[in-house]
Amino acid sequence: MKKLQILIIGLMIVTLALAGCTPPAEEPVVEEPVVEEPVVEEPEVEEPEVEEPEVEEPEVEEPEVEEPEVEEPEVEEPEPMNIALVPAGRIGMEGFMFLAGQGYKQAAADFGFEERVLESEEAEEWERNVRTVSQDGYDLVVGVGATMLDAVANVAPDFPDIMYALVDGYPGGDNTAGLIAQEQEGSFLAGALAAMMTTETSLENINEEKIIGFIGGMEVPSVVRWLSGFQQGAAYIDPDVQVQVAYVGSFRDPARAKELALAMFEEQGVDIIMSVSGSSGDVGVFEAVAETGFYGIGADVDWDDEVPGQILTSVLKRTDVAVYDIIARFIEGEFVTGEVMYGVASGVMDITDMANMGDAIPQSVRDTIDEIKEGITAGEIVVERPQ
Amino acid sequence: MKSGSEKKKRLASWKENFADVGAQLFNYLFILLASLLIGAIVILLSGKDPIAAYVALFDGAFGSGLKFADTLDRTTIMILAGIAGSIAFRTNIINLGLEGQLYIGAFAAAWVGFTFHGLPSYVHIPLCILAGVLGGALWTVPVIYLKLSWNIPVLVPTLMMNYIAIRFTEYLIAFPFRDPGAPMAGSPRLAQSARLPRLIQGSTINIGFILAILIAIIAFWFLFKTKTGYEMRMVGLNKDFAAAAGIPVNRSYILALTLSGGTIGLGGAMMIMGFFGRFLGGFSPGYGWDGFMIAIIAQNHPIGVLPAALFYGGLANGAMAMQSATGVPQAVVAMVKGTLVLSVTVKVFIEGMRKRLQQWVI
Repeated sequence: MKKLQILIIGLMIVTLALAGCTPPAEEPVVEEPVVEEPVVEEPEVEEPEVEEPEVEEPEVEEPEVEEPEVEEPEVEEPEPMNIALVPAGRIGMEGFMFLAGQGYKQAAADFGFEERVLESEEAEEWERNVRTVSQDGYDLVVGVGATMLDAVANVAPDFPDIMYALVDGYPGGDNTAGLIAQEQEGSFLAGALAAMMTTETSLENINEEKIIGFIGGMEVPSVVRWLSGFQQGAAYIDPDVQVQVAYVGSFRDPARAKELALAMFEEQGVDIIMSVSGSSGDVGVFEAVAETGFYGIGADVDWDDEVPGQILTSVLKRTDVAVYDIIARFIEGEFVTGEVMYGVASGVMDITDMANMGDAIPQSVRDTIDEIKEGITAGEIVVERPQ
Repeated sequence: MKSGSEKKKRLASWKENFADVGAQLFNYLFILLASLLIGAIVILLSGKDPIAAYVALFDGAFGSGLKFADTLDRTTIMILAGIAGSIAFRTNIINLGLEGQLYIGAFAAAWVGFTFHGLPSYVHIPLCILAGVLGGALWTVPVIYLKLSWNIPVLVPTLMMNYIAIRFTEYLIAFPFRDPGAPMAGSPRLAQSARLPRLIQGSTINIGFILAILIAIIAFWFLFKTKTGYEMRMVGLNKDFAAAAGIPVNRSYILALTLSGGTIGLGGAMMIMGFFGRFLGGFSPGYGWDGFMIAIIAQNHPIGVLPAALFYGGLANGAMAMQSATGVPQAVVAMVKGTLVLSVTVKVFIEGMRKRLQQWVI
């Protein structure tokens, strides 16, 4: 029994010690290092609130001390920011994450901050990672992927002085920005193109019927936006154009996607299909395109080389442009919180130059697309965003 | 009351105990160092600096008050998983179903958390915890039935129940309880009154950690200081002997499975109520399996689970810091863990062999 008593007493001490740590978090953060870093890095202390470095940082940055000392008098460079990227996945893998990583790396190179990327595929780690860089006193944390909405939303209120940006979702709160892509603006261009091309019977396999197709992965908000833009674009050219819609029911089912595409081509008089069914689903649709000789339109990344000459274009979602832009805004002091929309005007939503199609797409069609693009940019053409 | 000789005896037994614990600690330290050394060799072979990697690892886990607190928070589920494994192992029940029991417990707690609103915290939290424990415990009932009715070893049914539990909860949040506003397949958010109070601002550590330590102490007391616990351990050591001595073997099995399931179910409840705030499909990266490893490292001792769980929690929290700072992949951490578990297993095996040899020789 004595052992048990000693144990309990020991644990009580631990608990008490923990309880002792309870008061506000500033304590551990404000500790000694505050004095060290500013003195080394920057003689004129401008923004004392920004510098809340961790204990380990001085160690890492000390070797660099020589550089700033040489540079600073000449260039008067602003104090380097600490900006971290926390993707809900791996930036080496999926196209969307890859682009975000590219934008971040480009920004790091251009603005001269040290790269720090915390990648993971576990839902738990996303929040842990956001929290880790927040505890390290980073100034801006960029999350990638709507799936980490909770992660940012849970951490941001704990660190009101740190700014958070999330690609594809707005976590809410005073210190977060949601980078929202206007997918419908990009697919508006694709819809207009498809509506013009579906009667271009000079092209092999294009029939006279004004029917085009759309295959989506699942009926989720982002896919609905893609579809809505596609429909609006088609109607803008010719209200009589019909859009056949089908959902695969999954973003990872190329077989079913291909089946749906074949059915559209062979039974419903469709000659052009836009596919937003996940990168593997898209492959299925484009297999059907290759086999039947009809035409397809890709989404998210550049699919034009998948079936050369049969993919009319791809609607690009340039996450890299959005990530670079928000970092640039932050560094220039123009960071805004709330929903930040990125559409055709910002260059985030765009379509490829259709180089693979060459003369198959008449110059008049290309000119019309350019006009529409300018119209959207200037705000003359308003593409409605479905909720 | 105490005569001199009794005092001396006690002192001697204390001394012996301390010597024993000391020897054990030394053994563990040696195994730990050896595991880290093997990890270091692999890091070295991959062309990275092992010392920098370990410094970053340690720093990520214990580098600041907040990081240490987060490490302790990660330890919570490890402690409960380790204890769940230990209780079953002590009774010689290999409960491979910890992962499934974790999911069911987590969902049950989440359901109570998001279904009822307007309850005060001191009612809502215990209710959620109760649901989590019951969920985990009841999920073992089919296994118990198979074991008692047809004497089917629990190994296979517990394992199979994992898949049922994981898919079943996935179904629940995909259809009947789906929150359309959730960014991924997940249940609605728990009511604020069902969230575990945080202990330190900026960290996720919550009262679940204290609860887990209490559970460890209770488990120790139960296994080693009560009659029922003694019976369970006897059944674990030799069920035929225990049966011959009049110990209710079946009751021990039932207790072992339900207590084990209830403990890991509590762990699931802690994850949902303390960390996620809603049930997410596939939220566990394998805590149930970690539970076995921790139990093995702790040699099924509830108090030994505490440092083993802390070690696991520290590795988990430091791994990402190590990867992002030095480029050493997190997989190295998994290797260190694996080596450690293997070493402990070998150590236990060798000790067992030595004892047997001694018995033969003498």
